[in-house]
Amino acid sequence: MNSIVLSENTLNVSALRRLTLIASELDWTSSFLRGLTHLKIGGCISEPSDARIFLRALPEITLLESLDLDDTIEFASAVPSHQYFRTFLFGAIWSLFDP
Amino acid sequence: MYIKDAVTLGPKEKYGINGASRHAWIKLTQVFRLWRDIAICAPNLWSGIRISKRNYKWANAMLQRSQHTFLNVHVNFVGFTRRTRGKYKDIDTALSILEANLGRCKALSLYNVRSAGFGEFFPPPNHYAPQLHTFRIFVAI
Repeated sequence: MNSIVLSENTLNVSALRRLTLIASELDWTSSFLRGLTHLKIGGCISEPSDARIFLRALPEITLLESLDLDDTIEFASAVPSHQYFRTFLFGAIWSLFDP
Repeated sequence: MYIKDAVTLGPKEKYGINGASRHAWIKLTQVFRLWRDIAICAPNLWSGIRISKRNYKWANAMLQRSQHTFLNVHVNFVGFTRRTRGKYKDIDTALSILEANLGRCKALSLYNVRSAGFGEFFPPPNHYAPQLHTFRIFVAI
């Protein structure tokens, strides 16, 4: 994984609403995430542990209207040992948004 | 005003500020002097700034002409690494000015970012971007 990590220490933003992050890491505890309405990530979740952190942070982003996981799920399923990860991630996100 | 409308409403492939023909809108300033004077004094025409190895020469002029308007900035880091950076001092200058104008960036897109490029562009401590609404990072793999 690339060593670039986007966090509050990198960029101090208060009005951020749309974030696209491809092939870099994100500090999921950053407070600016709470204001996001659109989030697109790709290649940011490569391990089940990343997915757990992501899923823990997702409900905190209460204004989120659009979530684009790009090829995150496909990327996960491409690794044989992580095929269960796709099911886990997809199922967890589905349950999160299913009324 | 009319020039801005013409640029906005015209066919994107020919005149769009962010259209395929990157410098076509600059031709507006070359039609005749009146258009040039009007275009240069219209900050919104210069608020969409693309910085790359190929067009870095425009960045400084555009940042100045954009005056105090909000910016939509695209930076492409291809060919812009620590090793070759010294060869392109204009890019260094443009990025420094951009860094100084980060406070009025409404949208910022960084393409083909590598660790070195990003670290130099956003060195710690924090950079404050209070107007930043849209942020895109595409890391070069």
